[in-house]
Amino acid sequence: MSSIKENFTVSARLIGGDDAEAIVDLMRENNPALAIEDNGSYWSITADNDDLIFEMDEIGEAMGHSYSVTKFLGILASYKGEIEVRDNAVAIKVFAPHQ
Amino acid sequence: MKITEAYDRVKDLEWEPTYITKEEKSVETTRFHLENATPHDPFKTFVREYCEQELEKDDRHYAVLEASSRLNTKEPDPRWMEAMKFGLSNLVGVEYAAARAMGRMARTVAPVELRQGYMMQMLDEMRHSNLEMNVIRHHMKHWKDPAGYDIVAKAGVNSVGSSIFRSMVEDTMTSDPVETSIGLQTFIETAYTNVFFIGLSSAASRHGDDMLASTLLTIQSDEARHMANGWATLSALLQDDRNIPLIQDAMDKWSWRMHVSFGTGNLLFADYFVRDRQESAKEMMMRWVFDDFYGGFYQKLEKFGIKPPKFLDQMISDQDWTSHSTALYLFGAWPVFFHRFDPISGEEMEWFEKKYPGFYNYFGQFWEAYGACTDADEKKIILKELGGLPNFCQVCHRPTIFPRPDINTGRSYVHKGKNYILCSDGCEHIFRKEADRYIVSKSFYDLYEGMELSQITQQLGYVRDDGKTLMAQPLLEPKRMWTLDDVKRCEYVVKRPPPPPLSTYNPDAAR
Repeated sequence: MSSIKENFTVSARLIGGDDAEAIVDLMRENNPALAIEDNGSYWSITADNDDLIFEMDEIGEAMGHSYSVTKFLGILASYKGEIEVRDNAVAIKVFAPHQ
Repeated sequence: MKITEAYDRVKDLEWEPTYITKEEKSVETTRFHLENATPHDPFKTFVREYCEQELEKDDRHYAVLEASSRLNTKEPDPRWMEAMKFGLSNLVGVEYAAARAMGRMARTVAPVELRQGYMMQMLDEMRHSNLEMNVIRHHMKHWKDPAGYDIVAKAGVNSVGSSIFRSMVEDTMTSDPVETSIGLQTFIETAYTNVFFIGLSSAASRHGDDMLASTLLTIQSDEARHMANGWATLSALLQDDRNIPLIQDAMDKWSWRMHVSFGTGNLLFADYFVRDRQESAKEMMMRWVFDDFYGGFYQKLEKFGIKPPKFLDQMISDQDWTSHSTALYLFGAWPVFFHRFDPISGEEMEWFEKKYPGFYNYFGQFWEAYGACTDADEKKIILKELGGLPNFCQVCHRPTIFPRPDINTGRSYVHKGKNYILCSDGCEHIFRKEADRYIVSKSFYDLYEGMELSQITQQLGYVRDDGKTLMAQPLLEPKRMWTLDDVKRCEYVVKRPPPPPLSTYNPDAAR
């Protein structure tokens, strides 16, 4: 694959709306190095060689009401990386499979 | 109880029934080895959480559909709305096929961790089929020209353009059940639906079709789980070295199969079904498929012994011309479709020349000829000016004009004494391995050779309620709508073109 460059970017794409905007603001505040794009119908959050961790308690605090993994997965349109659903968080990690 | 704890307890409920053998239970067999795999399901999906999640999604999405009937928003772009008659006709069958594929997977595959994911995916795919039918119904009720939206389900089966998707989904539905996972979950759902459902959702929104944008995004939110199912399956397969050559074969086949079906569709939609362009279709595909999927995912499988797909270089170079060649086919054959066509303007051709240097040299003449054949009173039809339709590939059912008509790679191949037409090394590779699987389908010429063009339109059922006016029109607002009699006056009878030269492909050549 000589013309394809291996990359380790990690991204989450969130369906546009109030929830997504609040999450984007929080992630931007936590990590200003993230690349964040407003694509109209969806938001894109991208990290280079770094995991994206979405903590539900933190999101809930930012929103002013409780937030759950179920609600988050309802607006997660897609991701790039390796996803792991935890008890109160969703992690999208750098995809680096081991033998 | 925490999800992770509950997940481990539920897994322990699995048992082996004593009243039936494993073989009788699974009905189908697979040539892949999963019996000793220890898979991992990253989503840990329970029915209770699944239902809660899907209810949340449906509540949000159907609220948009409900509200739209009360909102006084401006009319969506007609080029987009008309093109979606054809676009959406391809999707419903794909979703249903995916549901069947997941049912087969759930029944056949041993590990309980993977089965739960497949069962949830089967439900998702039926949801998607319903979502798409709902947005089609919405458009049928609200778009100013509903003709074409009302026959979308039938057209998905019989239209000459849809045979490209149909042949792919039927291949997927009838393959080895685990191989189906590679085709569907790894290639369609990890690579190509991201472009289609997310990339094009943004386009839908820009063109005033917020209903379809919401539909595509809520569908893709389920695909996120399907991507995880795909990796869970693949990583389980990679644990057994006996699977490596089987996986490689599947990767070589399905990478190409999806490139010529979903990839072709994505490129066409992103260049020719939109008016407000932010990037070219090639740029979009390079970003989403080749950088994200191949660079960010596939390349990392090399450490397991998985080589790049056999035809990857061809797939990349095809991005230069596929959208334009596909448009040439669709617009050229407009009378046998079911939507109003909107040809590109001079300004759009200039934009294409910047993004695809050489565009005007290879395709400009076609668009000039097309512009001269739109008036029904002139009795000139573009298909006749082109010299007729080309051959069609026995595997992918695309016309043999790719990557570009002047450098097309169409060839003949003799199997059991009969000549078959193939479009490329990739399709020939697939055909050579399982020819008997592909020789059963009928080509365009098997069905319509010798018929006059208006008879084909009538047989397909693409005529408006007055019984004479075509659903398809060469312009959004033609001077006068074309009727069956107008097409008949052009005197075009379908003739099978001569076969291309015999193949010189060497299947043993090094990658």
